[in-house]
Amino acid sequence: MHMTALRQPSGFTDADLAALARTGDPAAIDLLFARHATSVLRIAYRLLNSLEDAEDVTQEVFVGLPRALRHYSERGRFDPWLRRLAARAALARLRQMKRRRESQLEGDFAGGTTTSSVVERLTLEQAISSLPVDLRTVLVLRKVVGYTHAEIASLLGIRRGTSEVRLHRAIRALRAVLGEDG
Amino acid sequence: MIRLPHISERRLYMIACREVTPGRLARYHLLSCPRCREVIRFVRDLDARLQTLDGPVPNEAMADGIRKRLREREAVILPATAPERRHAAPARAIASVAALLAIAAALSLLYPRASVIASSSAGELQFSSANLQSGATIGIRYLDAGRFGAESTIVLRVRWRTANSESYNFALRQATAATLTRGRRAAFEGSFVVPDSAVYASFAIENAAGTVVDSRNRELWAIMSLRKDGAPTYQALTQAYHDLIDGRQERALQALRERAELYPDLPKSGRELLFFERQMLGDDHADSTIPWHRTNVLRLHRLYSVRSWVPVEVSNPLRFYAGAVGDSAHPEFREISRYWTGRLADDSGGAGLEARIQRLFAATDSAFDYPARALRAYEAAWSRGDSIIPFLANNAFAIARTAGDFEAVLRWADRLADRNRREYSWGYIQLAEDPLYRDAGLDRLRRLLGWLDERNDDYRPLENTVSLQARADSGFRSLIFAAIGKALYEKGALSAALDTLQRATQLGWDASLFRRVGELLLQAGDTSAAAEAFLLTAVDPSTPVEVADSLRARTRMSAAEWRRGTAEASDEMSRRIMAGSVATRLPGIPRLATQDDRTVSLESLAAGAVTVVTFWSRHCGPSRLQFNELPRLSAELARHGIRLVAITAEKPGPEVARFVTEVDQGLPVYFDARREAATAFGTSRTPDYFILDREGVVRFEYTTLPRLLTQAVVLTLQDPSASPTGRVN
Repeated sequence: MHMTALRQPSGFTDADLAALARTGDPAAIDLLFARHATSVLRIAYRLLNSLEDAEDVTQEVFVGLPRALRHYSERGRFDPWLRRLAARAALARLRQMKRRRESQLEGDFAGGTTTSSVVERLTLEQAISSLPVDLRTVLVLRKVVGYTHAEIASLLGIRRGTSEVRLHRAIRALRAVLGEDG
Repeated sequence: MIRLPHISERRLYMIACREVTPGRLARYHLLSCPRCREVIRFVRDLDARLQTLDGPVPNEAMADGIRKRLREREAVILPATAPERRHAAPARAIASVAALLAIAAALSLLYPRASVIASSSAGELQFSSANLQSGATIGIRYLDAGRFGAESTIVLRVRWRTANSESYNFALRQATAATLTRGRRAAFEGSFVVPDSAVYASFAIENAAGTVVDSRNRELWAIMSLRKDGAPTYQALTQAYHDLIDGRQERALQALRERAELYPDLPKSGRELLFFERQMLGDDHADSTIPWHRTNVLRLHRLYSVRSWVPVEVSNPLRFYAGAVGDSAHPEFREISRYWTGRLADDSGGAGLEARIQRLFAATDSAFDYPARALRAYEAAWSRGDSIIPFLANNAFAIARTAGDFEAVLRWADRLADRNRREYSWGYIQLAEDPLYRDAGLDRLRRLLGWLDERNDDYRPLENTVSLQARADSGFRSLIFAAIGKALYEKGALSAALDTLQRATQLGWDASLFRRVGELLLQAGDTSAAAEAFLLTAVDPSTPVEVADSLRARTRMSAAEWRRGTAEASDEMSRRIMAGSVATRLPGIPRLATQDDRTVSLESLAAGAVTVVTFWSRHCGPSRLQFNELPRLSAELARHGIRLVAITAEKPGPEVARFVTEVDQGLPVYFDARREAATAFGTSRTPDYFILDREGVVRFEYTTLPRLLTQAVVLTLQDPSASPTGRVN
């Protein structure tokens, strides 16, 4: 039940920073941003398929962090909690957005490491972007954020079986786009 | 070599995602099929790539924007704990709603009649382990969403199930698993030790007084015993089904489906799934699954028929399973059923519970001829600890009476009542009606009344507050008083009988009980008390006019006296019915779809009139049965200016339209595919009923079909300008 706290180079654990951030300490929020903004932004981007909206949501998450941290207990790991918060914020934004065609990547990225070839990276990202929003949402929530199907069902107001089916359809669609060797 | 068919794509994905474990046949297939193995490799490779996938990175401009907004103290409210979809209010209003709920929770302690709908304030309960392992200590954390106000401790209540616990929950006991203490932050924490043999457990949270309960919108929380690979054990899924069948049918069906997937070689998995599909989905839908079940029966028959001995846990369900899928076009299944009936008789040894149940059935078959022998078999079963067999006490009580064994009758009546004193006190009532056992019955009924005066949490369902249980018990007390009064009358203790019968009419509200008591009072010569009982019966809206008229004739009251009497009785009816009311405002304004896919708000449907809201599903057996009553009910309600709104969680479509039309073309049915209304009311069960007053405030919740008309009509009689009973939350 008690999770081991991970000591970061700065000497503050995420739990320490969360406790400070809860009081509105801007330095603590800055440090949390430095550590976790990338993963928050990428989750928001995968769900919203729009860099501009993803950046907005990322800002909202960190500005709203002090208040949201009232619901966080330091004994749990911080980064999964934050990823889920980001996912919920992005879903809230998604519901406000009008439906758009998801056929293109949004611009290019500044920096970022590559662990695979440029062609392969674009192919997988392009494939995910091309998924219908319902399928992409479940794929990201399940495979990137780490929600269970039951949690996804609760989040999206769908049945658990529907979440499972959508994930499978997303996988099938990715196989079709990427091919067997994708 | 037999070529095994390819695994379905869906199953391959589930195996690849580790959502299921491949069975023996699937493993054999994968060894020899590169195509299926490649699919699994692709999915698992995809998992790994998704974790390391590149993407955009934040820039300094974003960080500057955040710093600026923090300096300006901009308030942003994020969906931190509950899914935002359940809140109809915009995100910025969540904080104010949570504050109101906190106030309401505190107020509910002062005004027990008021209650808060849980849908937007269900907390989050976390367990340190999802595996219910005997003897293990499991840590608990509960994040309150405002329901428990400033409480420093709360209670985790539990219903434990062992491998042999029976279906439904009325004979199971509830217990306190742990007391949770508020930690440094908002969370309450504690731990409990899993008792021996527990395979499934349901939980709810409440305060120490039992006046505020979080039952997760009556869905409860649950954990169960797991295998080493993380899949639920067979016993756990069986007990999940037994627990969930009590009002959470869709989840019960899911548990059965999962059990059939994980344990396909146990015939009970398929047999119970088929049976429940028919109950839940109706014959039309269930017929579509029959081909799969037929294939399954053939597979099981081939698997087991070659064995020289088969336990009754296989032969008994298999004979029923085969019988259920056979028909005139498929007579081979009747043959298979007969085969397994024969095997059941041949292989009838065995020490398992199923085998013991079969032997008891055999003893029961001869009970009328040899009751003493049958009774000995039941006593032996009881001594062995087979008290969990559902029909044990019930049958033995009847057999003991047939045998004329006085001591055994009392012994089995006590054992029967011990299963659940509310549900099984009919044994004591029967004793009180029988001259031979009357005094013993009376004694036990009086003790039952004393028992009701105590707080008996072990029989209180997890979802019920103490006050809700007390309200239900007032009707039960009325029943006990009526039985005692009748027994006293037959003993010749007239004065005591009359007093007791009058007490029966002073509690709760049951028009048919009042009528029975009135008849007794009349027989006893107390015409004025009988008249009072008949007046209570007559004013109930569910009493037909001709019955009311005949009761009036029997009282011989003048028209003026009857008018005065019915006015007083009507006031009494209002007082008692409204004592069971709540006053809860729905969060948000749920939107529904019409049959032609227009959007309407529930507020617009219910504005200005008392409205009955019913949640139903054509996929739920009990709901389908009650749905047939809705046209009649709708007409009766309409006579009193009351509306009926019937809501289903489906989307509008031709199939549901056909279903509705077969019952009543004009029935007002609305669609809640996004579950906005279900969430606002805090319900996930069907059928479920609520009654709103003219302002749209919920006044009766989770009520039942037989009580609807009376409650709704009484609500129309309330002064619309007066504030509701209790505080509006």
